[in-house]
Amino acid sequence: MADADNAAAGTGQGETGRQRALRLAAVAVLLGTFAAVNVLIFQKEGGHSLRAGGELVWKPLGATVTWEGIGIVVAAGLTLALYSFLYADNAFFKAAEHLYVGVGLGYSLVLAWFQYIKAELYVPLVKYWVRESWLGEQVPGRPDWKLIVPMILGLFLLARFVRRLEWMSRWAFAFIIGLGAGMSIPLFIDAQVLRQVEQTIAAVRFDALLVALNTLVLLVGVISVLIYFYFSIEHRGAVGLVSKIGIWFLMISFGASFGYTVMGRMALLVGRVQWLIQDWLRIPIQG
Amino acid sequence: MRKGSCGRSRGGAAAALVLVLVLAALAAAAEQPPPAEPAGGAAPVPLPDRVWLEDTPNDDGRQLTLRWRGGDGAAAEGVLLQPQLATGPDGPWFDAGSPAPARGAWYRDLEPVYGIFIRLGDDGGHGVVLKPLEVAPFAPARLVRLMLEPAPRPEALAELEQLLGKQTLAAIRQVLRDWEVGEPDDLAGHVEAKVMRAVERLVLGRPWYARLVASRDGGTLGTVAAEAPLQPAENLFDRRKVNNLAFALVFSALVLLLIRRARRDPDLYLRRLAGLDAVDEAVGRATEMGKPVLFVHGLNPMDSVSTIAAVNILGEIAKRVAQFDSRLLVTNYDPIVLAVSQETVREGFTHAGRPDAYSDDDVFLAASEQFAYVAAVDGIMVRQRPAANLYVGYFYAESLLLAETGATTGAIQIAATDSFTQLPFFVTTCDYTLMGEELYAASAYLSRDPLLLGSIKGQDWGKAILIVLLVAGAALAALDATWLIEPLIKVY
Amino acid sequence: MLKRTVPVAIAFVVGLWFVIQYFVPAGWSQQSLTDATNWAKILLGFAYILGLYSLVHVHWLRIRRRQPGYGYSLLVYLGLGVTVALGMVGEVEKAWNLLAGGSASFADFQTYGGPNWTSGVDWIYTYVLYPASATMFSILAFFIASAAYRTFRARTLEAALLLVAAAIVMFGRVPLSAAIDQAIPQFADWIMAYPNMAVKRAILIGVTLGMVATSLRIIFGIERAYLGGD
Repeated sequence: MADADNAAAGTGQGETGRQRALRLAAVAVLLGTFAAVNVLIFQKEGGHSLRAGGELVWKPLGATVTWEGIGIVVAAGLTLALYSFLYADNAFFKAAEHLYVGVGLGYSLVLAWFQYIKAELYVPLVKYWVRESWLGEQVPGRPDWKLIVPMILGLFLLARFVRRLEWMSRWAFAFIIGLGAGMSIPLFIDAQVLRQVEQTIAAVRFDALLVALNTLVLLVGVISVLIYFYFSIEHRGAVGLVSKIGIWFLMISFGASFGYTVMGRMALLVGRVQWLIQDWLRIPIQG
Repeated sequence: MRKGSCGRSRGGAAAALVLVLVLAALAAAAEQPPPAEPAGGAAPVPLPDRVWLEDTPNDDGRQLTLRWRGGDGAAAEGVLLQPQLATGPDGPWFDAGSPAPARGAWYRDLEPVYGIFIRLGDDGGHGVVLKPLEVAPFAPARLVRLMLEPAPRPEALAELEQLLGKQTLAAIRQVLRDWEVGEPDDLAGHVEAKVMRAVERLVLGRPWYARLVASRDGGTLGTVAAEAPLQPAENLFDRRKVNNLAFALVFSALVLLLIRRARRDPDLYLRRLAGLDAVDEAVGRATEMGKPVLFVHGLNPMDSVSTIAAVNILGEIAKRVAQFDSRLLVTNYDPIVLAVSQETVREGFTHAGRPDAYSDDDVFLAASEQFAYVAAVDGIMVRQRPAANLYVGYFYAESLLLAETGATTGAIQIAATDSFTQLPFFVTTCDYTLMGEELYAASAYLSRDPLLLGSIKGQDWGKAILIVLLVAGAALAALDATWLIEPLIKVY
Repeated sequence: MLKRTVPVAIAFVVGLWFVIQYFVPAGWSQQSLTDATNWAKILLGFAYILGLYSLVHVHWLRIRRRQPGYGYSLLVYLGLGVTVALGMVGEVEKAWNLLAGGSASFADFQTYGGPNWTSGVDWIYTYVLYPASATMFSILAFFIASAAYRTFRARTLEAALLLVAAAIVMFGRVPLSAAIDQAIPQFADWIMAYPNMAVKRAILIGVTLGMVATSLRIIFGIERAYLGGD
């Protein structure tokens, strides 16, 4: 994503001096407003950031600026900057996006060290090597020698930095992909084929008219959608008709899933706005 | 479908039917009612007349099954049988699990542990599964703690010796020495895991004695010992999963067979997949507009089959983009997927004779956090305005955030995902959506490689088998004879 | 040979074993799965170095070429640098003490609950990562509405089915609908339990067949895009 960023990154070329000045002014005004609002908030008595068991816990913050207070300002700034994307791509969103990407990767790296490399490789293997050869220190325990294999495969991955040795990384790829492919076959046959067939058949009942109808809907749905997915038969005639029914089922199901998620997503937005009002602006909302 | 394959299809269906019938017959044998219970009198409570230990199948050697017959007449109402375990014929005995009612704890109730084959044979006896390591005195953590006491009390040592015997004790000491564990604090991380596993094996790897203590209303009625001691075994095959194995074998054989046939006879019919036909259109448009094609990976790591399929598709798309002399941007979330994608795209470009047009910087890590990925990819879409956005792989809540932003940029949008929960969002915001199974057919469709097409044919056969199973199952359920088909589909 | 045959052989052996492993309950078999997943974690840990290089390099090119907006790339570096510094400072200190023969011992270095969560990284998580994630996630509320509108304009039978089902289920989940007529939430539940469930099952079954076929092609070396094709 090197050079094509032009139109992109800055608001860029083709902008007259006047437009540029206006844009900078707008940015300055918005930043100034945000700063002013924060100064006002810090003048407020009390403030809270944590909610314990649904109750508001008010913490005296006073005029003292704490890390917590600064944190809330940062979080509020990020929240507003990211929401600004809804209007259009802009400088605030870009700044927030880039910062977020950087912090996210940093966090992943720290986790990768603690949870993957240190926990799984350093502690069980390397530590014991180092203790005797370098430091002459004693740590109870002994190295788990078989971990040399993944260590070498890991180093093979890093061979990608050398053009002529890149092929070595394929060994590591082959291990991961082979593991995934092998594991998945029986696991998914159990969970997504046999269990689904079992449950479908378990639901079959014809003891009352309505119940029978439900059973029929379930069976026709499963079978027609399976037939819709047929690749090597032309969807004409009877097959065409059944796969048409399959499409209808698919659409009803997608609509249902869609409708089912709407309220949950609305709740997310409400939660975020509440946070802005209560935690940032320190305006208590009851209820 | 061509004519020649029709005859074979009937053959396949017939074979499947035979398989169903055979398994059904097996199951039928199991459906006989338990033998009638002997009429009880007012006579003294009869105790079980035969008690024995057997290895619990389908496990990793941590369990034993204590079985018994008799002692379940009407006179045994309210009698409780407490299973006990010991490491020697003379005890000391310890309660293993909770007491079982003399007129309950049927052997055939162990089906979740034993699998469907427990229905074969007319066994009306009783059985309970015992877990020696969960009997408090034998808990490995406790044993090791006792052994690591700085100055072991003589009575503690005597207790250990009585519990485990000199030999096992010595073996455990050797394990502790091997791992240089001298005090409880040395047990941490992988050392603890390794030591505990070894100790568990040593404790389990000895003969266990069992007996049943009968009682009613707190008063002991008597004791019956199991006939012989037994050492639990680590089993090599989980019989409960035999239907899974059968399905895997039949389906794999079908796929491999059809692949082989496709090698000889590469002319296979495949219905049109509009979403994939649109790929060429999208790449062509990108070339005309001088805009890149954006390939967005899902979030799953490289060992997920969805991602493997996505990489296969990426390889085909890279070839096309290189042929059209366009530019391909690939956003990644997982670093291994990143590395594999770089390799795949480079080879795709090389294959098309354009190795010079490839740059590692075009296949990049956009972010490593779910919603940072959204922000980064959305940013690319609104700033670089790709001519086509392809979302391929397994997606989560980010799907709509990506696809809706993409839709506002006017790009051709094609999604391919097997994520059921996200399909509705791609269907509503993309021009074309490859749903579920179509993701796995896509690389074959794009490459037109007869070998891959053969495996698609295999997928169709798999569906045929399952449809037959579903219909047959439903019919049997209607006739109240589900047990006929259960051996094929039951999952424990 | 080393470039093609060995990887294909690795995928074959590993793949085949982990198919079989599922059916072998013995302890050593289960251990092999635990080991392999831990190994995969180790590989992921190494791969993050590749990921780090990729991201840093892409932004470095922008800065070096002074592309418009290259200043934002500096923010990536800022976020990355601060987070890594805060996360690793404790580790660096321990390692330093150890090498200098100071107070820290290997036992210290062995503990792995995570970095010094109570301070820097914790703050970053609470006030940067979490709110940013929650905000992006909540944008879905707007997008779900615009996606519905997009469908509304499609005016096909399929789109209509989708919208009607969506409307019923959405309305059925609002308490108001029960107040109007108990049948509305019941019908919504019925749609979820029957047509929706039927489709879900069919899709899962089809997906699994595709997965198995793909996995077989990988294990038997028929599809090897990950090795750069044939």
